[in-house]
Order: sequence, then C-alpha cells, then structure tokens
Amino acid sequence: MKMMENVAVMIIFFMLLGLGFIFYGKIGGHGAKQDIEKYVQLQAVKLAKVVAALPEVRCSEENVPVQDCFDLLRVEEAASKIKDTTNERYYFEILGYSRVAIEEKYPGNGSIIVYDNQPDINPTSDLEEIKFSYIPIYIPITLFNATINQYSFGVLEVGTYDK
Amino acid sequence: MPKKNILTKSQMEIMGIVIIIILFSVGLLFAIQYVILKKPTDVKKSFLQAELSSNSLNAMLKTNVPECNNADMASLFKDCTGVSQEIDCCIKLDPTQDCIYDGSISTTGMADTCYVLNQTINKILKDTLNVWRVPYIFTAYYVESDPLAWTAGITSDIPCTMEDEGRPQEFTLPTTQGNLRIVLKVC
Repeated sequence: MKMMENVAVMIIFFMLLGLGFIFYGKIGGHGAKQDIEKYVQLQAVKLAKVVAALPEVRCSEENVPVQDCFDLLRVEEAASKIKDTTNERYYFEILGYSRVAIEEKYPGNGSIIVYDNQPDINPTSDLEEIKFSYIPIYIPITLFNATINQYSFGVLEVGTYDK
Repeated sequence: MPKKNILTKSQMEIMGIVIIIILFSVGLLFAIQYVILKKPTDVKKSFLQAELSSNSLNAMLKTNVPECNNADMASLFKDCTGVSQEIDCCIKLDPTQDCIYDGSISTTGMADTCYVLNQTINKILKDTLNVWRVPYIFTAYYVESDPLAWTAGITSDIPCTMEDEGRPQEFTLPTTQGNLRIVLKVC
C-alpha cells in the first residue's frame, strides 16, 4: 500500500515537471520568434538608413548633400551601374539580399527599381520548404529633376528578403 | 497507530500539496505577466512614426505644384495665409483646357492657393500613408489660434488611438501673419 502511494506521488510529480517543461519550452520558443522578428526589422531599418545616405543617388547643392533628397538623373544612372555585373559584388556587400525602389507620387507617377537581389532557393533542399519573406519600409523623400529644376514628392521603398 | 496520528499526517500531506500548488500558480502568473503579456518592442513602428512624419512634411514643403506655376508648397502656405493671394493656381476641369495665369475672374478653373493646398496634401497623404494603413492627422495653425479652416478633414480613414500616438512632427514657417505651425501627427 505504501509502495503504491509512493509510485502515485512520483507519477504526479513527473507529470507536473513534464507539463512545466512543455510550458516553458513554448514560452521560450515564442520569445525566440519575437527576437528573430525584431532582428529582421532592425536589418530593414538599418538598410533604409544606408540607402538614404548613398552618395550615388543623393542630391547635392554646391557639393553639400541635401537630406532625404534623391536626384532622379543620379538614380537612373546608379540603377544601370548597379545592374552591371562588374559592380554586383560591391553592391551586394552593402545591400545584401534586398530590394530598393524609388516611386514618384506627386505630381507624376513612375518608379525606378534601383536594386533587387532575391536569394536563390536551392532546388536540392527537398526536405524543408524555404520561404523568404519580404519586409518593406517606405520612406517619403524629395525627388529632384535637374533637367526641369523641379522637386516632386516620392517614396523610397527598401525591403530585405529574410528566411 | 493511533487514529489522531494518521489524521495529523494526512493533514500535513494536504498542506504540502497546497503549498506546491500555490508555488506553481505564482510561477505561472509571473511567466504569463512577463513573457506572454509583455508587449513586443516594435522597432519598425517607432522608426517609421518618427521618419514618416518628418520626411513627409519636409518632402511636401519642397514639392513643386504644377497647378500653381510650379511654386513650391512652402510658398503656397505663405500665399494662402497672406492678406492677398499672389500666386495664381489653376485646376484643369477639362484636360483640353488651358490655364491662363492672368488673375482674371472669368478664367475657368482658377482656384485659390488654400484649396489647391488642401487637394494636394490630401492626394499625397492618401497615396502614401493611407495606402500603407498608417493613421495620421494633418493641421496648420498660428500659435495660440485654432487650426486653419482649410486643413479640416485632412486625416486618415483609420482613426488615431491614444496608445499609438507618436510624437508629432512640427514645422514652423514664418509668414506675414506670424509663425505658422504645420503639424503632421503619425500614429
């Protein structure tokens, strides 16, 4: 009788212990997921700051850079230069797997994709399906058209491709 | 074994279980409070709230408006709040219509700068913040005065909630009537 009582107590004790482990495991997993999301968001924010400061596309007045202003002629030139295979490696080191686009919102409409580098999904990995999420950040900017000496309202779209 | 001793032992065991359950419940409550109910720090949101309001205002004020002889919006603000409006604006009611900037009353499509400002700001904010589902409130006012009448209604479709309210970006523009405060609050 005493033996049975001990066994019952042990069973209940281990059940409670197991439940506790499962519970804390779930909470730990939830926290880790939040940390990953936070890291991904930080990466996107960091990239947005890097792009906004790229001298290849920024406006300048008498060699003084203008904040949050993109020169359309420079943007077009930079987009073609970035697509050049000889510069691919250099820009990959700065921008990584991401997409950078500039869109005019007012008065006109139009967009220029400055950089778009999507990661290749390896077809040999059959066991797990790899999906990349695109997290874009939109930043309002001024677009300067030097040919007609006019400013327009635009949006800088910066996003990272993350697993 | 006497009956009294058996009762005392079982009471002690029950007390032990009660203590274990209380400790377990307290641990569970702490875990729920600090891990599950903890609001995640939204880096992107705080960055965007600050960046969206300041950049939108800065970019907007520099933008040239083709309807008003390509004057920038900062000049339109000054003109709108001035005693007499000097910038001629024309909104084409018909695409084939020509805008004649001669200030004559008979010219069709002539509009005042305040109206054009309202339309332009509304268009820009609707095409950007509204599309991204970001709540906002736009106002312009003189210090210790009510908001200007033409700015009424420049708000998002989604209302701003108190807990989402970010720090509003303010831009002070000197005009002939005093300092005009242009405010964009992004929530």
